[in-house]
Amino acid sequence: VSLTRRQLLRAAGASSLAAALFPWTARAGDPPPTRLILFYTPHGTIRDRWLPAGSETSWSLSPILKPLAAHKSRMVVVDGLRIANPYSHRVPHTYDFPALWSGSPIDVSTPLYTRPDHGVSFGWNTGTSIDQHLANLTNPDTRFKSLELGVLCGGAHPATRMIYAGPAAPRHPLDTPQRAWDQIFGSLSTDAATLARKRAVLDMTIGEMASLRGTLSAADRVRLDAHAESLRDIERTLENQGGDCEVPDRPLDLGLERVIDQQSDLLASALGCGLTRFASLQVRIADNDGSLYPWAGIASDGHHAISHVTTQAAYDTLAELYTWYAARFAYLLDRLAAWPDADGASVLDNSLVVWGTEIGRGWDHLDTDVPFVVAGGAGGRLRGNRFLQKPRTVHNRLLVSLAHGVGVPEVERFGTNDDGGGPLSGLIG
Amino acid sequence: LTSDQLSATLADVFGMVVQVPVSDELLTGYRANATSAVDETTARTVQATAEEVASTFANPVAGLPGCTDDDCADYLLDIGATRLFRRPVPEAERQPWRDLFRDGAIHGGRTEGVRWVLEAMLQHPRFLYHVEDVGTDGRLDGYSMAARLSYTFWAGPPDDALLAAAAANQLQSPAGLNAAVDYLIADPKFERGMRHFVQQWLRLGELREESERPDIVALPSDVRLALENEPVSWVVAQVRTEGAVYDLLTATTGPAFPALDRLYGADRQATSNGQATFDPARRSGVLTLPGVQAAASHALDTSPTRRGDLILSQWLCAPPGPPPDNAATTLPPPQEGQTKRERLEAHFHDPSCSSCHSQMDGLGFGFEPYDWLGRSRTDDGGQPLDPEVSIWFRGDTLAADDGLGLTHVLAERQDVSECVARHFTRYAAGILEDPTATCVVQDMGRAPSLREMMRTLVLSEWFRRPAPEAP
Repeated sequence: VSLTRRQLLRAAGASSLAAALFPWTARAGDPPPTRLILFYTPHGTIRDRWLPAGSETSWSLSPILKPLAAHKSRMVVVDGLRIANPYSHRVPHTYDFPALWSGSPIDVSTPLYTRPDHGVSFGWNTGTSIDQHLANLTNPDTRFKSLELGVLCGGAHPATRMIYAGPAAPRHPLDTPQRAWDQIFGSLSTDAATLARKRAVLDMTIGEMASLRGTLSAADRVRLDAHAESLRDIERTLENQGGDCEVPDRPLDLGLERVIDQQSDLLASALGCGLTRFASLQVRIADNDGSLYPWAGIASDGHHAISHVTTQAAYDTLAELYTWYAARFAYLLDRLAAWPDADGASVLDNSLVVWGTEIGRGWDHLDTDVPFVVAGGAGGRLRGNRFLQKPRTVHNRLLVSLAHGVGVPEVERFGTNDDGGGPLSGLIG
Repeated sequence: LTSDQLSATLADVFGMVVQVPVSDELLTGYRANATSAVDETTARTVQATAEEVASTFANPVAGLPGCTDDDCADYLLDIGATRLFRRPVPEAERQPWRDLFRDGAIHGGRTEGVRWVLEAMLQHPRFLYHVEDVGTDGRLDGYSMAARLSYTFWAGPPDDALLAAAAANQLQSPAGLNAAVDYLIADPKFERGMRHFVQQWLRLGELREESERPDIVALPSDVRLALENEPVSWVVAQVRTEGAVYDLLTATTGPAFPALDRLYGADRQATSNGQATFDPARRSGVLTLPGVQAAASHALDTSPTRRGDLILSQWLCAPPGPPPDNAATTLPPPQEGQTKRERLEAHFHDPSCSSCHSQMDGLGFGFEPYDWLGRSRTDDGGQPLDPEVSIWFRGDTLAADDGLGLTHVLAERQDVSECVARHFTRYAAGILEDPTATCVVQDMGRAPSLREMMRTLVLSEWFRRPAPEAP
């Protein structure tokens, strides 16, 4: 699909053709916008196999990060960040996950909801994730305000959701390629009659919600209003079909070994077609990833169980899994690099792609030294091929930098865990 | 409504099997959507489902005699909305539907009008949410009560008979509710409702975790299904035959599942009239069914910890606390001549671990005579099983020769009966701990049978009043 288009672009080399292929950029009359993509894998890393050697500008890839060699020139490895958490670690993975992209703590004032296996009570998140905050600030004219994709993300729970439109407002990932395709590409071709029907039905539904609203409690009203807002998000973008892209084939079920890459394929297509500017890909959950990855060394016990073992053999096994994750992240970058953008650069050149996890290391739930990799050109704002060491730095610095990286420099603080130190010095610009 | 409730509602109203893959909240151990809002992805998923169902039914419905150009909107409200919204749409709320039908008909005739109306009904808040209307006495009105009953007992919408009972104000009186309970339990849809409850209560969902259980995936599909269905059928049968929690834990006969013959081997002694009879020295009650034991195992290995946790959390309502920060959950490799118990006990000798693990593992060891698929065995890879149970619990010793004996000990305990009641109320309410439910749970725990336990719940003020607010 993309190959045909790329050849076309190269042959024509004309911006008028680019505008025809990318009407959404022509409409805006601006250079292509910088996209933000958040990539997550669970349960930290094995630090001594992950940590690069060298200085900021003269460094070499670690064993775990080796699969990213082709992208070294446009990536920055960030070591030393910590996820601030004002509460003691009663349920560590769960408490850190809602904070990962929101920089705000979980709600511990709501006691009704509990992990039955831990006897500990908590509520939802308290913050908004950075992608949603930036989508609200930039309000892009795309079909999807944002796209959340995932792999085996399970039932909704603070330990299984990382993207939040606001407090207690998780955005649920499309966690199979089939669901993702159906939602992103399954209803793209719409004629005037279809649009009229969808609009009439959405208007009717929103109107009915308004009549029901008066009879509800305050808490239920908040939920119904948020639901109505979701319908308005759909209605606002009914006509936006993105660029004139070919729709990829509906993915087959190829199993866990291939599913992350399949989601990356769809994500790259959606971003390349201009269907959204903000996206995420969540691999499994921060709760208890019991999945087996025999092709990557985990043939029994499951990832989470092994992450609590402190033997050399367990470190070896985990390092193999994390190296496989790095290859998956590299594949996502490959796909984004393969999509030409309206300005003749690649989608990756105009994206900021971040790989994060909810803790530093698994066995004792350390929430310092949480490993991050930032990649992509960010429209020229990210200088690659660097290794930044930021010991004991609260990771809200990184979240502020992500805003700057996609061209929203007015964000100076982000999240209630933010201690006001601005962006992560030296990352962007 | 949860994903399963949405599918069940569409199945009962349209006779159409549709998956509605929305995310369900999993905050309490039981799926419910009680706290967070419908996000854009969920809204789009519901929209896609509504469009699919509406486009399938628009043409046939438009051809029905009751659907005329003048009256079809009202016809759809009468035959469709009453079932989908679980209550009739009053005259005062009908005009927008008539307008919507007319607008659709202008675009594409009667079929298009039907399609627009069906699509809107299937995205309507009264379809998607449990909207509960309260009468002047502070209790749920008849229609809300009918829906609460049907989603609790059938995991689906009320049928015409329940809606008629609601219309006749029969669900406001104890006599009417009594009759409704027996009607709900006798109906085939009760099996669907119990499937939703039992799968979550006994954690049978583990059997579907394909990425975690390649050993289960490798089984023939009829065996996998039977592993999951047998415990559900046992509960249904005990409710219908006036069995109590005691019988559920000690019965040696139950609905037969021939697909499990090979797993049972000689444990199953006879089958007649669809009832299997088991060797009482090998099997006793629902806890010893292979599906339950397999779900509380790892791939190709048993887990005394998971099995003990199942009993503590789901049968004694005493879940262990969180593991300490430095917890290591994978066992060291076995050493020559070591039993599973010796390995685990050596591993958890640290007092911060052993306080919980002595209870979990101590109960779980009793079930070592069942392997990871729930098959009987007499040794563990050549090592002896050592299944004796003896733990300190609630100020007393909880002891038995093995898991089989433990089921008899549990069967006699009042706190077990109350715990089963508590789990059923959690499932019914969709929230975890509501202090106002405590008295109801105590009353339910004293009921002489499972049927009476459910009846006690339905007749309680707690069940008949609006759900406590989610925070």
